Amino acid sequence: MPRFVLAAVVLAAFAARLNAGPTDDAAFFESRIRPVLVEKCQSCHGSIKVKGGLRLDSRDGVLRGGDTGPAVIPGDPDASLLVKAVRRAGHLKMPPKQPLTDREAADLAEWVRKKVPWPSDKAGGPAAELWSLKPVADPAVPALSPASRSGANNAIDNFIFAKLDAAGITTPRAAADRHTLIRRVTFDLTGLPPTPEEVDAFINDSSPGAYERLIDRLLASPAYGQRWGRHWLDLVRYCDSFDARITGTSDMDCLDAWRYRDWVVSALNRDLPYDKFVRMQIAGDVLPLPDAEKTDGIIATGMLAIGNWGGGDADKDKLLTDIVDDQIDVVGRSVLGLTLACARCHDHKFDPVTTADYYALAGVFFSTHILANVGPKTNGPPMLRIPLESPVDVARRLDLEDRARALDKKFAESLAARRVTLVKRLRSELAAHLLAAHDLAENAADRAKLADATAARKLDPVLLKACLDSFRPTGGEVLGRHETKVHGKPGLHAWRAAKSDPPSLVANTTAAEIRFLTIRMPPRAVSVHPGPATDVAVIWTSPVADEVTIAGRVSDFDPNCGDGFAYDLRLGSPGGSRSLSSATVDNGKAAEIGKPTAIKLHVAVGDRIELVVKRRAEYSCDTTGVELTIRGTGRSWDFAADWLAAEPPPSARVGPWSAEELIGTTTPLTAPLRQALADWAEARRHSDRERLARAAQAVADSAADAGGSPFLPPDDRLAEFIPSEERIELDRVRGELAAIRKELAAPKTFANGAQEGGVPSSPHAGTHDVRVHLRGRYDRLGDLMPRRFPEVIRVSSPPVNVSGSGRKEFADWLTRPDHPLTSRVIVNRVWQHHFGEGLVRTPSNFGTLGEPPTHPELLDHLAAKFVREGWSFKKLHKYILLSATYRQASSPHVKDPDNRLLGSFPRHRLESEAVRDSLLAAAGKLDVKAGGPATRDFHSPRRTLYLMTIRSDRTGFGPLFDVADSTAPVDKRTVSTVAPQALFLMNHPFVKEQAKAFAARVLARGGTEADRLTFAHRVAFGRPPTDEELSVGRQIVAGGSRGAWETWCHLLFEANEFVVIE
Amino acid sequence: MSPLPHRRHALWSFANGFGVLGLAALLAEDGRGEPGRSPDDPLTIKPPHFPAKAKRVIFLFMSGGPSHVDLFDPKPKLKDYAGKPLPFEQPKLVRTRTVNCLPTPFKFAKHGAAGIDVSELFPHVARRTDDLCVLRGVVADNINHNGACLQMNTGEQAFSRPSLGSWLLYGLGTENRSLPGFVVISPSQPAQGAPLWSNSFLPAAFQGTLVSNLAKPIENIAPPDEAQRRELDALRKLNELHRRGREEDTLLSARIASYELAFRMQREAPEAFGIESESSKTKALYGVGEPATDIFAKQCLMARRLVERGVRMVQVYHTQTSKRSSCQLWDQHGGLRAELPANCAATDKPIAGLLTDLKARGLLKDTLVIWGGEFGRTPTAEGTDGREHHPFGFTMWLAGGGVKSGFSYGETDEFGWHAVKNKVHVHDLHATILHLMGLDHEKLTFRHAGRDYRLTDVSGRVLDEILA
Repeated sequence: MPRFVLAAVVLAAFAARLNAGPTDDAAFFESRIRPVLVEKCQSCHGSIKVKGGLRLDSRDGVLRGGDTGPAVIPGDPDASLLVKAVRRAGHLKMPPKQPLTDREAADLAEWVRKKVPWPSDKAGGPAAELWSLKPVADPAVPALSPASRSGANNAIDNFIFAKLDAAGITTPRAAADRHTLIRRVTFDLTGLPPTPEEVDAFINDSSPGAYERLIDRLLASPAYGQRWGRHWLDLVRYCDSFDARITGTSDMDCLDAWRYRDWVVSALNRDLPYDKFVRMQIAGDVLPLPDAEKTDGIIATGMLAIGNWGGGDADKDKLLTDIVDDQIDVVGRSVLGLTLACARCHDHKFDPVTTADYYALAGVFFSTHILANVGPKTNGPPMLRIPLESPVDVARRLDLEDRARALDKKFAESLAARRVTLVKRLRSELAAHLLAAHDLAENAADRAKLADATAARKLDPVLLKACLDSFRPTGGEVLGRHETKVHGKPGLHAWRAAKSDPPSLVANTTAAEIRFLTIRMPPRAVSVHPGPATDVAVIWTSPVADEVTIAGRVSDFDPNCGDGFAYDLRLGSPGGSRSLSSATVDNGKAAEIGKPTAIKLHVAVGDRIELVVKRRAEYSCDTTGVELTIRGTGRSWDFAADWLAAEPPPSARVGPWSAEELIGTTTPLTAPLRQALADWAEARRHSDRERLARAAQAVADSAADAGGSPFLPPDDRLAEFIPSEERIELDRVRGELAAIRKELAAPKTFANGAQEGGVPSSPHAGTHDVRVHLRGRYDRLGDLMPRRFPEVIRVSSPPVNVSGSGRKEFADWLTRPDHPLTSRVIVNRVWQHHFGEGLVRTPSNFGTLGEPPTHPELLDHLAAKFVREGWSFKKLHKYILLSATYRQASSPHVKDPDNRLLGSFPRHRLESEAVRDSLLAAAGKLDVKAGGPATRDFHSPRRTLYLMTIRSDRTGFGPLFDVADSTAPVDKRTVSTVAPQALFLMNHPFVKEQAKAFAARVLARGGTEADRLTFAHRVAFGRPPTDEELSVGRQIVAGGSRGAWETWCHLLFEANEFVVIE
Repeated sequence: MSPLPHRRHALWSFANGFGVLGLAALLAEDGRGEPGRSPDDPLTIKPPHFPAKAKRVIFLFMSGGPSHVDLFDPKPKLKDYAGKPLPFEQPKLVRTRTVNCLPTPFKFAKHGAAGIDVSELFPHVARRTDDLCVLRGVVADNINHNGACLQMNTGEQAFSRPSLGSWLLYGLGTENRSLPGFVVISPSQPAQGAPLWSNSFLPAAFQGTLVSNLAKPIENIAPPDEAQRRELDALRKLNELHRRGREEDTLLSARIASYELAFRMQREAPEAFGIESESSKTKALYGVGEPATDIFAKQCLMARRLVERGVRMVQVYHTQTSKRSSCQLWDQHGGLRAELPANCAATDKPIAGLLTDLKARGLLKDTLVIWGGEFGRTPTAEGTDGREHHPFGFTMWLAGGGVKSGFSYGETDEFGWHAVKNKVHVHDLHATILHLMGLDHEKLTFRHAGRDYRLTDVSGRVLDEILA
C-alpha cells in the first residue's frame, strides 16, 4: 500500500501541469485535499485500481470522471457527484466503508467551489527528472591513473576503468589470449566459429593491427548481417508464419515476411545508417527515396505488418485497435525504449506518457493499413501484399501495356474488316450451307459424309459446321472432373471443367451443413460456380414433348466476399435459344425464378432448359445454390433432389440433368432473326424444298443484318473462319499478344508491409485523427486527438502538421539527431550484444521503472559519437571491440559478482542459432547462402536464421534452446539449462548426422591419432587439446573404428566448451 | 549474446517445463530424492501463501465455445420466443445479426441430489453432477476465438502474458522434476497455439509442454544403453577438465548434471505417459478403444497419470474426434443438431471416467477439474441450425479440489443471454483457481519491464460462495 500511494502521488505530480492556481489554492490543495484523495480515494481510484473507470489522481481524471460521468462540475459542489457521494446523500456513498469526516467532506466541497485547483508541486514534474529524456550530453573523458592508463586503448576504457579504479578493482585486468579472443569476436560478429585456418592466421600474425584487421574482415563478412540482423528481428517479433494452421497457404499469413528479414540482413551488411534504418521501417513507402531504393522502402515497412494480434474472426473493430496497439508497442519498446502501449487504457502509471499522447500517435497508425481488408466475419483478415516493382519493372510494364493496347487495336481492326467480308459472304452463301446441313443432318451426318459433301458442293467446312451446330441446342462442355472429399470434407463432391476450376458444381450429399473456405453449404444442397471467363449452366434436356412449368431459386452461398452473380434461364432448341428470365443478384442475396409470374412453355424432345450462372465483375466468391424444378403433365423433375438421389456420377450428368461449362455468352438474337430461325425450324419439318430454300435465305439475310451471329462466332473466335493461308498475319499478332499478356500476368513479387490510409472499407479507411478510447474500449470514445508525438520528449523543430498518415513525420521525429532516446537506446543494445548486458540493464525500458545506466557518461559518449559519425553500426562495433574492456579475460571479480563495472569479460553461452550453425560448421556442411523464403526442413544445411519461425508453434529446437518468442519484442533471451536440451544433443538424428560428418572430416585428415584428436579439438573449441584432454579422447577412439570417432565427435558437441564463449 | 547468469542466478536454469537441476541434483543420484532443496531453482516446490485445497489442476478445454443453452443452462422461455426476436437490444459487440431465438433441440433433465439440469447430450457426466460445481454466469470480454482463448488462459486478450499453468508453476513449483510441470495435451492446435500455454515473461521453465502426438509424447528419448553411459562418463571427464579454474560458475555444473537427469528421464518419462499399462477396466471406464471416444479418453487418462505423478497442471484440449480435427471443434455456427451431439459423445464418457477414476483413487479431493471453453453461444439462431459466439453469460464447471459439489452458482437471464446473478468474470475464475491452489492472486506477482504483473491484472474476486 505505501508504495502504491507514493506512486500515485508522483503521478499526480506530473499529471497536474494544467492548473497552477494561486498560492493559497496550492496550499489548500496540498494540506487539505491531496491527503484526502491519496489516503481515502486513490486506493480504488488511482493508478492501481480504477474502479468505475474513475481516477482521482489527476485533475484531468477528476474532470473526466468515470462510468457515471464527470466526478465534479467545477464551481458547483452541490451538483457534483463526488461531493454528493462523500456527503452520502444520494444513491452513491463513498468511500464505501469508512465515511469521510465532516470536515474532509466540507473541504472537498470547497475545493470544487474553487473550481478544482490542482497545483503542481514540482516544476516540470518527473518528465524533466527522467534521465533518459534529458538531452544526450557529450561528457568529458575521465582521466586515469598512469597504471590504468597504460591498459586503456580508447575512451571507452577511460569510462570503464575510472569506475573500476574508484571501486578498488584494479587487478587483474588481464587480456584474453588470442585463441580466446578470435573465438569470442568471431562468434560475436558472425555467429560462427573461426576455422582452424583463421585461428592460425590470427595467432601467427604478429604485426601491429592484426586484431583490427580481424575485426574489419569479420565486419565485411556477409555473416555479420545474418548474426546482427537476428538481434533486430528478436526486437521486432519477427516470424515467418503467424500460425501453423495456414503456414504458406493463405494470404492471412505473412507470406512475404522473409523479404523483410532479408532486407534487415542486407541493411546491416551495407551499414545502412541507423536513422535511415528506422525511418524506412516506419515510413519506407512514403519517404522520398531514390528510385533504386523504393522497393526496399516498401519491404522495410514489413516491420509493422508482421505483428502479433488476434485474428479477429468476429470483432473487426477490436482487430484494428489491436493492430495499432501492437505497432505502437513494438516501435515504443524497440526504438524509444518506452512502454507506450500502457497508455492505451490509462495514462501511463509511471512514465510521462498520457492516454492523449497514445491516441495522438494511434491516429498515425489507424491511418495506415497492413491488411487488404478486414476479412470475412468468420475468418481472419488477408494481409496486404504490395506488388514490388523497380523503376525498370514499371517502365517495362507500361511499355508492355502500351504494346498490348496497340496490338489489341490492330487485331480488332483486322477482325472487323474480316467480319465485313464474312458477313457479305454469309448473305450469299449461308442459305446453301443451311440447306446442305439440313440434308446432312437428316441423313445422320458423319465426318466422312461431311467431307464428301463439302467437296462435292464446294462448301466451306467451317460454315457448314456452324450450320450443323445451329441445329443443336446451344451447349458447352459437361463438367467432367469428379472429385470427392472436397476440401477434406467427407460428403462434399465437386465436378469441375476439364481445364479450369471453376466453373464447377459442388454438392453437399450429407445431412449437415458443410463449411469450407468462406462458404456454407446447407445440408443436401447443390451449387454451381462460374469461372473467370466462362459461365456455368444447369441444363435439363427434355426427354418429353410437353408443356412444362419452371420454378426455381438461385442464392449466393458465399455472402462474405464477392459481388453477387447474374443468371439467365433460357430455352435452347433447334434454331436458337431464347431467354426466359434473367437478373443480377446482389452479394449474399437470392432470386426466385418463376415467381410471381409462372414460366410455362412447350418443349420438344431434346430441347434444353438452361439455367446459366454468370459472374458479375468478380467471379471468385460466386458459389451459387441452385434449385430448379420442371413440372410436366405426367411427371416432374427436381434438380437438387434428382442429383443427390443418384450415385455421384463421374461426369456431371444425372438423368436429363447435366452441368456444363459455356463459353462466352451468346449474343441475343434479333427479333427478325429469331423469327427467321423459327420459320426455318418449322420449314425443316416439312419436305417443301422451296419453302425450305426461302426460309434458309431469310435466315441468311437476317443473320447478315445482325452481324453474323450465331453463324459467325464472336470476335475472339472469328479467326477460325478465316482460311489458314490468310491467317498468318493474324496468328502472329495473336501470338505476340498472348506472350505479352503472359508476361503481364506472371506472378509478381510482393511484400507484406504498410501503406497509407486505414484499412480499406473499414471504419478507419483514409487518414484521420482518432478519439481517445476510454479505458481502451473502442465502443467508449472520448475526445478527438489531433495526430502528434509525445510532447514530453523534446526534439529540435518537432513536426507541426502531419501529411498523410503522419508516419513520415513520426519517422523524422524519431530520428532527429537530438532525440534523447533513439540513439541512447540503440547504442545500449549494441553494447548489450557485445557484453551480455547493456549499460542500461532494462534495454527496452528507459522509463522511470527501468534501471538507470551503470555508466551514464559512457552511454552518452557512445550515443553522441554514434550520431556524430553518421549512425554507423560498423563504426560503433569497431570502437567497442577495439577497447581494452572488450579484450579482457573472463575472470570475474569477487567484489563485483554481477559484473556491473565490467572488470571482466562475461562468460556466456551460444544462442540456439549459433549452436546449430556450429554443429553444421564442424560437420563441414554449413551452407552460408543468404536470403530467400524460410525452410521448414530442420535437416537443411542452411544457417539457422533461415529455419522457419511459426508463431503458434513453440515446440522443436529453437524454443528448446531459448530462441526469441515472436509474440512480443524480445530484447534479451533467457538462458536455460535443462535436461531436454541434453536429450536433444544426445539423441536427435540431426546431431548424430553432424557428428558422423565431423568424424569423416577428422578421419580424412590422416596423420596420427593425436593429430586427428587435435584437429577435432581445434574445430570444436578453436584451440588444441591439453594432454589430459588427449588422454580422455584416446580412451574413446582406441581401436580407431569409425564408430569410435563418431562417438568422440558427438561428445565434443555435447561438451560445455562447445557452447561456452569466454 | 546471452550472458551466463552468475552466482545467485546460476541455478535459475530454465526449461521448457522439464526439471532443472542445481547442485542438489548433481550430487543426489535420485533427482526426486530431495525436491525443494535448492531455493534458486524455479521449479523447486514453494510453499503456498496459505494452506491449499487443491494441489493440481486438470483443465478440460472445449475449444470453440460450447453452447451453454444446449448443455447446462436450459431456457424454456426460448420456446415461447422460437423464431422471434429477443425482446431486448443486443450488445454492440455482436457482429452477426442473430435475431431470432432458437430453443434448444435437446432435452434437459435434473440430476443428482441437488437436481442440477444437464442436457441429454451428457448422459455420463450427468451421473456425476453431485461432484460438479456448475458456474452458470461466467462472463468474458472478447468475442473472437483467439482473444477469448487468450483471456481464458492468460487473463489478457491481446498481449503476451503468462498462462494460468505458468503462474501455478511459478507460484508453487512442481512435485516431479523428471516430468514437465505443466503439460498441454492437444492433438490439434487450439486457437493461436503456443501463446495459450506461454510462460511469456516468466522464466521459460514455466512454459507448458505440448503433447500433440499421443503415441509419441516426448521428443528425443532413446532407451539408455551401455554405450551411451560410457560416452557420458567420458563427457563428464572432459567437462570437469574444462571446469578447472571456473569452479565459481555453477551453470557449468548444472549443465553437466543435466546430462545425468536426461539419462534417467529416458527411463522414467515414457512410463509416466504410458497409458498402455493401464488395466483394461480403467481403459474401458474412459472409453479407450471405442471409436467415438478413443482420442479424448486417451487424453484424459494421460492427464490422470500425469497429475498422479506430481505434474502441477494438465490442460486437455478437445480438438480432435475420430471424424474431425479442428482448432474450434465446438464452434457451431451451423450444424448444431449434428456436431454438438458428436462433440458431446466424444467427450462425455472420458470426462465422467476421469471424475470417477480420480475419485476412486482419492485424487479428486485435491485435484481441481475445470470444464469449459472460451465462451458460450448465443441463444439466438445463426442461420437455422447454428449459434454465434457469446461471452456475455455462459457455463463452466469445476469439480474436486476444494469447491462445493452438487452445487450450482450464478444465472443468466431467462433467455440465457446476459449473466444476471452471481456473475463470474474470467478474472474471478482465475482468482478462485489460484485461491484453491493456496495462492493469493494479488500477491502472486512478477516484476517485468518495471511493473508487477498478476494473472488477474487489477481485478478478480475469489468466489467465497463456491468454496467447500
